[in-house]
Amino acid sequence: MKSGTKYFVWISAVLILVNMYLIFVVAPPDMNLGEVQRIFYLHVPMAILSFLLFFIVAGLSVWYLIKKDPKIDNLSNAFAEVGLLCVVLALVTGSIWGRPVWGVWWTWEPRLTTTLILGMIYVAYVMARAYTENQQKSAKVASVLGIIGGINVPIVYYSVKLRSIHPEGTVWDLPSSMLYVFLFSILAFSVLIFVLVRLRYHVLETESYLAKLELTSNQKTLENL
Amino acid sequence: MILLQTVAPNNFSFLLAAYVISGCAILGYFTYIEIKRRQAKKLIQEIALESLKE
Amino acid sequence: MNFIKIMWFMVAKDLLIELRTKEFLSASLVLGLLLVIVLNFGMQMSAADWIMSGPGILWICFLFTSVIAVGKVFENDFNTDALLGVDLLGLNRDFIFIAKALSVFILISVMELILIPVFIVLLGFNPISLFLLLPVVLFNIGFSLISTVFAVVARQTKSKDLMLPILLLPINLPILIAAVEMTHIISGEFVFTDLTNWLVVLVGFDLIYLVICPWIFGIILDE
Repeated sequence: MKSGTKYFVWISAVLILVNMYLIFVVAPPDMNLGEVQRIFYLHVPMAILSFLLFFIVAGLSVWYLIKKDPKIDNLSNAFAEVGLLCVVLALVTGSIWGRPVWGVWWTWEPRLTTTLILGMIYVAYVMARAYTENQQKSAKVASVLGIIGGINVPIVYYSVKLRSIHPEGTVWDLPSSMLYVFLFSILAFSVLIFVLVRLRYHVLETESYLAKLELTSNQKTLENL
Repeated sequence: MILLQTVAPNNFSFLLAAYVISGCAILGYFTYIEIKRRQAKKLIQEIALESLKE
Repeated sequence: MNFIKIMWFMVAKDLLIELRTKEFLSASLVLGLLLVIVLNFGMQMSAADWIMSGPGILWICFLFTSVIAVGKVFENDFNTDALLGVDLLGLNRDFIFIAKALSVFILISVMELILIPVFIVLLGFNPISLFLLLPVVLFNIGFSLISTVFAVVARQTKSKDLMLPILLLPINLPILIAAVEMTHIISGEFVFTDLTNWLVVLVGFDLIYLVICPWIFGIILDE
């Protein structure tokens, strides 16, 4: 691991530990919901990050189609994998929160539905990459999916919102003690996510390099024949 | 999840479940990256050794 | 004038194949009927529920058969590398895109025209009015644009038949939702202003992808 990255890993670990302390000890329990509300400090940053990461993937996909640089494709891949992790966690923690609070594991409310669809698009992205043989092809497949998926997510959200007659879910007016913990939580998880992306990107770059070496060595063996 | 309800039907178990699951998932993903990294590193060392032999 | 002739040949070829074999149209008729029957037995619905979900079932059937249509339209081209050939002829890629999208559009439009009366009888709701053209045409345009791009994309993967539905279904959700809702509104008493929201979704979707899809198609056609 490069030394710079190791530094960031440690910073991230510290931030997360501080975050956990803030969430469980410092933040006050919610008046209505009690202790369970603390899931919110985990769930909302994950949800925000999963959407943010997909828009980054979309942007990187456009950039890749223009520049055709495999580094951009590897970066996009890294963001997508971590984004998939985020969206799965967002859905799971949201569902776990929903059960004691609303009484159901799932509801077809606009934001949940859109997050589920975002998750499906992430899964399609990762699957498409897995089902394609070489880097070049999978880069093309993935970038198309990234762009079109990225455009579609806002449209889906608008469509599902139009469809539901019920008003939006809870709007939180946070007291400042909770707000600070929430903001710190976003910071801590963002750093963690970007560290994971960076680590994954380095490994992907190494794997691309290996693939290239294999190609050139195969070429040399063919030439020597 | 049903087990959780029968074992500890209060809200705290949900809270714990959420954080534990997330923590395991993140650590699991981190481990996955590490495994891939070591595999790649081993391959590079093998190739380096081979080219030295030639 | 040359490019129009080539485009015409491309579309005519696809349509002639279908006209002679009638593979797709007959299969989609059977598939549509089977889907309705399966849904009938799979879901316990009262008569009122049935009418409520009529538009949904209609459009689900349309979506699934349209996905098959795309596979059919591109099947020959991929087996014989025909698209590459036309590209080498020097035809502008935008025109190749338009020709293929047009083939898909015509095929699914004909399929829908045939299936609508059948479903009206089976599902017991009546959306027939000139306004029905709006969701049908707009959905078809959007679907043809997106699926032409994704057909080429899916071809790059190892199992194109599996990947095509996985790629197409989530991406077409906005127009599916809009088409179902519009058909639902049209089946009852309505004022035109009820439709405007959904029209915005459909037209917006179509316009956005009318611009983006040819561009993407052009970039990924290299094989």
